[in-house]
Amino acid sequence: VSRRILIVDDHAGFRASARRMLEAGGFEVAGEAEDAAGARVAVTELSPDAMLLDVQLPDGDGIALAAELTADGGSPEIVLCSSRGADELGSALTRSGACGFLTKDELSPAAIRELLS
Amino acid sequence: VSAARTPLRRALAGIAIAGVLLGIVTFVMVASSEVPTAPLLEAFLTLLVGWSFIGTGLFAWDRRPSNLIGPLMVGVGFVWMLAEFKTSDIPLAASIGFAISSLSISFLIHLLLIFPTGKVRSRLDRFYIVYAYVAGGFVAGFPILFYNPATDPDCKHCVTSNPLLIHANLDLVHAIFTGLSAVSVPILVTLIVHLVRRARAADAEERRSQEPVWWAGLATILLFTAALLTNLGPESGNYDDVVWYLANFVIATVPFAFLLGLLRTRLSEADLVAEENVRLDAELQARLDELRESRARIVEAGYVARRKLERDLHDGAQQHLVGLALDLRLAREKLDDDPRAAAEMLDEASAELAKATEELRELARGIHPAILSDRGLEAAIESLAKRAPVPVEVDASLDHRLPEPVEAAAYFVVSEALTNVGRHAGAGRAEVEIRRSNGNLVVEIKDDGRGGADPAGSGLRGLADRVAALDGRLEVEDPAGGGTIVRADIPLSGNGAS
Repeated sequence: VSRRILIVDDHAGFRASARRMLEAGGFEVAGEAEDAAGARVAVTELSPDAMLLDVQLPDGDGIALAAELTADGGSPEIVLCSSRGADELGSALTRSGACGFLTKDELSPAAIRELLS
Repeated sequence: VSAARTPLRRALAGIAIAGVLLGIVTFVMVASSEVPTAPLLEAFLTLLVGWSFIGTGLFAWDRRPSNLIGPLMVGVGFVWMLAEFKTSDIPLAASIGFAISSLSISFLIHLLLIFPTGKVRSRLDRFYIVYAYVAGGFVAGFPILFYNPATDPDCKHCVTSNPLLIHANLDLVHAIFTGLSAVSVPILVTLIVHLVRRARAADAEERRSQEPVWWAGLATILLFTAALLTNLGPESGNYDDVVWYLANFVIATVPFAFLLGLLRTRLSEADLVAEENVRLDAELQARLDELRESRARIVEAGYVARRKLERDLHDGAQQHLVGLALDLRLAREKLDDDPRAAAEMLDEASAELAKATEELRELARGIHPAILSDRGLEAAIESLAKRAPVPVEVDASLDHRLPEPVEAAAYFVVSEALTNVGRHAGAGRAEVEIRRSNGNLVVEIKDDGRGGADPAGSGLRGLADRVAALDGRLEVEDPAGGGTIVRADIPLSGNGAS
């Protein structure tokens, strides 16, 4: 199944690496956003199937954004990611409505595919 | 010295403000009252006497902080003005004024007896002082509880009620005052004899300081006599008032006599030590406060620095290493099918690695520059100058290595100052001068920018704390010709140097 995925991260270098990797792994990258505001707009305009969402965004908290988007229903499936470990992020992670969490260096098409239903 | 005495100065300023306010209230109250014959003159005289005592008293207090003379003079001023409330036509104010109307005489007797040392000299002196307060403060004060002005035929213009009245008994009031006068007059006479004897026994130097106070003593007694005469004598037109007003002018000069006498007094050894202690206490307190604040700022600065370090690692090197990991994994996957793409990925990875390495190098230098510990301050400053955003001329003349904390503080002063030059100053060039002078290391950074650096800004404040921790000083100035000069003066002894 071809999945259209949105990449949300404030580091352009990481977005570029992630795009190369996901495209090589058979995903279609629907778009990129660099902050929470951009992510909300992109979700509405691009209706991606899934979203790779950084936990720390310059204008807010990725975990809170995930909770906000999934609360409505009809949100894309969300995989949270961070260069910090899950143990540094606390229990909010499990209550975010996201379907999974990856540290950034664990990112691979296979790992994403496993987390998405 | 004056800065170290600020706690006392601040207290004195507060008392001065209270004195001015009380003066204004009293003036308005008396001037607008219908009780005095000449309200405006009466109000003016009250202010003259009250403010004379408070002003000179504060001056004496400041000059001789461990001597009771100053505070007592201030006390006379306050009590004098409060006592004048007795001429108010506001009943409660008038009652309070009546109750304390003799207290200033108690204060004055106390002043005369303890002049000029501020200390009670004998048991007899102590008796006079206690008597003065009991008679002038208590015995003359409490009859207000039994005094009903409405029934007093002598009280022509007084207020008609007394809110402090608990049981009207005019005869009792008269009896108390007659008794008080009967006992007090002989005691006062012995006091005068006592004081005259003491004056005659004084040596030349004591006499010099006591002469002005003779005037004060005479005037005080004059006032008291005048008061007694007006109370005891028959009502005779304006005679009372004229005596009273004249006495006021005399009394207003008394505090100046006390002040002059006090300043003529050479301080004894013990007093000098006491004065010095008061001054040192204030200095120590100011220094402790400063230390407490700077310690808190240093702890806070350490916390901020660690947070920033974590943030920098996270945003910088770690992001590049994450990118590197992804690129390497991708290259591995492409290696068999698409070697060209894999090679591209590896180039990307190399570039990420180079960036990560550079970020780490920069961070490590920010934590502690290796060049400083390896090759010393001059070399470290030269390297800072090379990386500065504007041309920097370095003039350093150090013949050997300095203690490590001094080198580190000097390095970070130059580093922060040059960063500011690049960020805010709009400068075209800068100069750094480092030299030893009188056992201190002096570091000076000049630029030709627009000036206006804020010494209270967090960067410079942190540097000042860092330098102060070594007992040094950091100064920031905008010289007349423009630009900014940051100068640190750091003592070498006590910081690891012999």
